[in-house]
Amino acid sequence: MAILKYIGRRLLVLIPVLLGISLAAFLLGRIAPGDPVDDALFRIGIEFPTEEDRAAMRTELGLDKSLPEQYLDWLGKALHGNLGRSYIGNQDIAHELMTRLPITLKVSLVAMLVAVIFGVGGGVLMAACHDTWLDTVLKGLSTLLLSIPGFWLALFLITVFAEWLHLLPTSGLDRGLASLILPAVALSAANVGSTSRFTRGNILSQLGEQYIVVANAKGLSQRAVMVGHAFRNSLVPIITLIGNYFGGILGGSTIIENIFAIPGLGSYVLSAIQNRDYPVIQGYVLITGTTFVLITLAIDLLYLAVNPKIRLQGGEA
Amino acid sequence: MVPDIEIQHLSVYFDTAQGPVYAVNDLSTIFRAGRISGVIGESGSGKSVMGMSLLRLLPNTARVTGKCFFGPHELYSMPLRQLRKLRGAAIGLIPQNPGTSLDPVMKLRRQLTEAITTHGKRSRKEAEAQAAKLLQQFGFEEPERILNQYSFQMSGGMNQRLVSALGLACRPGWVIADEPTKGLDAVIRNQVYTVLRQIYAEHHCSMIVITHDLALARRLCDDIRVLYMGQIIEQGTAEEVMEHPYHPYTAGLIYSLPSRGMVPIPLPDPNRLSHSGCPFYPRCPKATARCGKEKPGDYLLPTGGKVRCFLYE
Repeated sequence: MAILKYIGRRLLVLIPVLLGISLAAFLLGRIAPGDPVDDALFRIGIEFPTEEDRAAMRTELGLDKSLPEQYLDWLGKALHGNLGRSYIGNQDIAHELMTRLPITLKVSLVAMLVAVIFGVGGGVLMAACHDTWLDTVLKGLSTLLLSIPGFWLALFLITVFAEWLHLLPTSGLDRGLASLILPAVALSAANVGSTSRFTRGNILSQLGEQYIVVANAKGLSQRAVMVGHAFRNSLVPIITLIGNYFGGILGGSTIIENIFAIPGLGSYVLSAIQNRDYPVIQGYVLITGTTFVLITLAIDLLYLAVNPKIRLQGGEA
Repeated sequence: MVPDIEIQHLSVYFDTAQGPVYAVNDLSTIFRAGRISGVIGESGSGKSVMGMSLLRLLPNTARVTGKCFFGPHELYSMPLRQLRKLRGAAIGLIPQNPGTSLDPVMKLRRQLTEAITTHGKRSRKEAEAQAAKLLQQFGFEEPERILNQYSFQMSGGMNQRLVSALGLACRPGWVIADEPTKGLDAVIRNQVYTVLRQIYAEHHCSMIVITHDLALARRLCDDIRVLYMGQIIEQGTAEEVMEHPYHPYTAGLIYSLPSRGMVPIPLPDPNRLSHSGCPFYPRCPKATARCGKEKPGDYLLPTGGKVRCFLYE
C-alpha cells in the first residue's frame, strides 16, 4: 500500500510540473521579438502587407484571441500531437521532433551509462583505496574531467581516436554503438568527474557511521563492509545526483550532436535558434522538458528499490 | 579455554590544534576470563574508547600506543586479516546506540546471518536457523517475521535486544557491552540487565560492561574499574567499590546518585587548573598541596582492590 501511495503522489506532482513546462514553452513563442503575423505573411511572399492582410492572418493564426485562450488552443493541439509547422521549411514539427528524439535519447542514455559505470565505479575504487596513490591519481583525473569543456574534449577525442588511431568514426551514426562512444564520452566526462568524487565522499562519510563499526565488529572483510553496507547506503544520494545530470546531458547534447553531426534534437533546435524558428523551439522545450520529468519519475521509482524505508513507509519517515 | 584480556600502557589520543588530547592515558589492567568486569565513569572519561580499542575499531584519527593482549596474541601488531577472525568470533561487541548500530537498508536476516557465515563454519541455512534460535532466546516470539524486517521497523528495546543477539551470533568467549543502557527508559534498562545476565548465565561469556549506569554496574558486575580522564583511579569488587568507595572521585560519583544523597561533584577550582599532579586535583574536596605536584601511584587496599590516591598510601 505504501508503494502505491508513493507512486500516486509522484504522479500527482507531475501534473503541475508538466503544465509549468508547457506554459513556459508557450510564452517563449509569445515574448519572442517580432510580430508573428508579419513573419507569417513574409513567408507566404507578402513583403508589404496591408492592414486587411494582417487582420486576416491574425485571425487565421488565432492571435486575435486572449492569451489564456491562445494557450489552451496551443496546448490542446500539442496534446493531439500537433506542434504546428516550422517557419523554415514548413515541416511538421511534431513529426520532426519525434523522429529525432530517439536518436538524442540513445546518445544521452549511453552517456548516462558511461557516467554511472565510470563515475560510480571510480568512486567506489577511490573510497576503497582512499589515501593511497591510486586515490590521489584518480582524484586528480576526476578534477581534470570536471574542468575540461565538453566541446574541447569532443575535438580532442576525434583527433586521437578517429584521426590518429582510426578506431572510431568521426561523425554520423552509421556504425551503431561505435558511433555513439565518442559523443557519449564527451557528453558525460564532467559527470564522470563529479559522480566519482561524490560517490567517494559519500561512501567515506558512511564509513564513519556506527553501523559500519558494528559491521566491522562482526569480523566482515573490508569488501563486505564496503560493498554490502557502505555502498548500499550511499546509493540514494548518488541516484539523486545522477538523475539530475540527465537534464545537463540533454542540454549538452545540443553542442555535442553538432560536433559529431548527429541528427538528433540538439542539432535541430540549434539551427532553429539561429533562425528564430520559435514554434520549433517551443516544441523542443515541451518535449525535452517532458522527457526530463519522466526520467526524474523513473529515478524516484528507483528509490523504491534501494531504500526500504520508502518501500515500507511511503517515504514519510 | 577463554583467555584473559590484558591491556599494557595503552594510550589513545587525538591530535587537535591545541595539541594531543588523551582519551586513554597510560592504562594497564587485566580483564579476567569468566567474570563480568564493569568499567564506569562520566561521559568523556575514555571508557568507550578503551572498549573499542580492544577491537581496533577506533576512528582513523585516533593515535594508539601501548599493547593489548588477547591471550598470547597482541592485537596491535597482528595483521588486520587475522584480527578480523577474532572480531565477532572470539570477542563480540554489543554496541552503544542500537538505533544507529544496525544497517538501515539491509534486512535483519542478512545482518544477523552474515555475522555467522563470515567466520566460515556454517552454511547460510544453518546460520539462518541459528539466528532465529538466538532471537527466540532474546524474547522474540516470531523470529521469522522479525528477520524479514528492517531496524527502523523495530522499537528501541527491540533494537537493543537485536544488537545484543548480533554481538553473540558467533558465540564468542568475550563480549564487550558498550553503554548498553544509554538513553533507555527504566523498563528497557531492566530488560537489558536481564538480557546481559542471561548471556552470562547461558553462554558463559566473559564480559566487559562499559557504562555510566551505576545501578546496572552494581547489579551486574563482579568487579568494577572507575575511569577518570583516561586512567583507572580505583578498582575492586562491585560491592567494595559501590558500598565503600575509597577514591574521592568514586565517592563523589556514587553520592551524586539520587538514591545516595544526590550531592554533585564540585566544579573544578579555577586556581587549581594548572597542576602537574593527580588528574582529579582541580575538583577534589580532599586535595592536599602534594596532590597538585605529584602523580599518585596505585595503592593496594586491604580488600584486594587498588586505588590511585595519596590518602591511601
